[in-house]
Amino acid sequence: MPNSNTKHFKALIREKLSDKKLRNIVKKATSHSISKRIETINNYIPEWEQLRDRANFIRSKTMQNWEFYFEQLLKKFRENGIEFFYANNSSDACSIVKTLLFSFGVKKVVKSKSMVTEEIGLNEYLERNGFEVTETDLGEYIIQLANEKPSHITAPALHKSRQEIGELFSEKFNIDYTDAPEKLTEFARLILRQKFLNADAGISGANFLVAETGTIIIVENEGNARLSITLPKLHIVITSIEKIVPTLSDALMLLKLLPVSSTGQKITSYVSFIKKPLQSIGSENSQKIVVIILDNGRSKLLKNDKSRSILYCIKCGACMNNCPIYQSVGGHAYGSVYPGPIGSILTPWINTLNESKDLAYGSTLCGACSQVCPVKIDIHNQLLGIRKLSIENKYSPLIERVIFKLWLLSMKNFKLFTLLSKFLNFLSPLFQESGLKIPFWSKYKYFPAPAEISFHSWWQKEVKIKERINNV
Amino acid sequence: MSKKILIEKFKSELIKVNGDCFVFKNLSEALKELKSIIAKEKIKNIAISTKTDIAKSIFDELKKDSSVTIESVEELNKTNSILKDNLKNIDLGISCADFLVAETGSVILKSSTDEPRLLSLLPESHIVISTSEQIIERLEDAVDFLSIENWVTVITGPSRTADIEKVLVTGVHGPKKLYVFINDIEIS
Ligand code: SF4
Repeated sequence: MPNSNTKHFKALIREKLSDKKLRNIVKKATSHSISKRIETINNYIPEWEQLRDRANFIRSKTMQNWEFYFEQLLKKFRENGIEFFYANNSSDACSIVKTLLFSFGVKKVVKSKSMVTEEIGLNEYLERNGFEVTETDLGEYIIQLANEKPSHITAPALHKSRQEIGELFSEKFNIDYTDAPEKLTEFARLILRQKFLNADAGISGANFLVAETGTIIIVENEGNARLSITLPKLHIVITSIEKIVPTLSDALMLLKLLPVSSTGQKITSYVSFIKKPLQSIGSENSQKIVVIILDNGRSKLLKNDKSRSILYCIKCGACMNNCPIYQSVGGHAYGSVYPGPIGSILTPWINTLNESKDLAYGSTLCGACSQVCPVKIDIHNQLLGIRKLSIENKYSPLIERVIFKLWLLSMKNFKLFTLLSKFLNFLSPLFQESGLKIPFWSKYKYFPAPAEISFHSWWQKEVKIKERINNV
Repeated sequence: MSKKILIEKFKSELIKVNGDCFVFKNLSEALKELKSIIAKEKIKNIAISTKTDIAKSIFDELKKDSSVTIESVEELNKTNSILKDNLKNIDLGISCADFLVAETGSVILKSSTDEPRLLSLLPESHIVISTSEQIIERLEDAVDFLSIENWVTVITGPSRTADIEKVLVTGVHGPKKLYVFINDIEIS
């Protein structure tokens, strides 16, 4: 995965934790989404938990029988005149897009939000190949101007303050500084409107692909996705294998959960249902729709009974909003395209486990993510699963492995256990507040002082004495 | 649920998402409200889909108004220039709804040559003409329609964003204003 660098997670965590300003912005934004979500559920959806069960059922049956629904979808695509490609990995996906754009004589591309295109590093790739690519979702546009990466899957510019955005606009466009969101938005509208009108191709993601009808469903608030898929004559949908849902009713059911979980909206401003390329009017050329479905390691998950649930994700972002770690460090700390709890369990599958295993340790295992997940992914169990995998693959540090080996041996051998606990007891003052300063450890926590007398010796003494008394 | 309750529900939901709703009994009521919106939003150029009779009558009436120019999509389709050029300077698009969803205050619009997607997308203001017979309780009630039609958009309020510090701003890329006119057939 070219667009992901999770190797420096530990270092980045430290850096971001000391950034108070960032922490305030992230905390404020996530708290806002959290309270909106709860408000809507409490006021309107008493059956929320039942809906989650149902959604979990739909997602699990789909992923278990993925090939069946995939075949059905392809048949419908063919009937509906939608072209289709399966991309095994990022570079395949990128070159399919490039070939398409070249063959259509495209120079200018408008894009609406799609995390999969972030995953494959599409923008950089297309720019290297001479195409002009413009992100049109306001948050994505801000990030593109700032030459950064999204820090949240539904709110890409969540980490930026209005002042930073104001400065960015004034610097890039040579306009008077303003930090009023209305003015900045209006300015972006005017610039991007021209981009839309002049674009040769539009690239979007998809929220759901309906197997039964071949419908592509796109959920959004700004209208930029609608413009991207309507104005240019070529519409490329880039999405991933888990977006399939069996029926339209299933999709509508999931649609009840998605916006509520993201922003607390009962429904977004726009939901587009697309089955066929748009008809041509008068002398206009007819439209072409091409769907590219990315695998990138996901099919391994389809076959994995223990971890398949990771693919249930409908990318709502609730798990990151509710994660105490995400709230404290923001999305960039993770270094992965998908940050937060879902990122920590998905990235090792689409990236290499060795490189991204640390992400799964950036968790308190409090389970807040699993509690809010609309499709009921057992996220905290999956976090443990990644830790387990990384240990089984011997990716944990040598010292840790030695310690646990010793621990295992001592648990099986009583004499060794007593000996080691005595030894540790003897060493323990070194690890307490007044003791040795161990880098990375004593900066944040100390060992509590051990009890004067170990449980085992206490038991020996007290119980044995009582037994003797009783026996007398 | 009775139509009356559904309309009330629709109205209150649409207002919550910054849209507006107007229930009318006859053409003259609709025109009066339309003209006040035209004045308030300083609208000069209008494009209208004349798919329904009531929309046709509105078109005929507004044509008599010299303060605005109005064109029907049907006419625009006959011109040689392409649709986006025809519509890019339009201030107000008037569409005809297929359904209204009470639960969420949403409008369901199918796209076709006489009701193109861009009509509800490029202009800064968007008005939807509908009748009380088109109102349904929940989006699921339109599932058959959604599965048959090729291009459908469900619109709920004006275009919006909260990408800058979660501050809500309406009118990012799509319309800044959305008004839904409902012809209450039972009353008229
Ligand atoms: S894992 Fe669940 S909560 Fe997190 S983004 Fe996916 S669906 Fe939403």
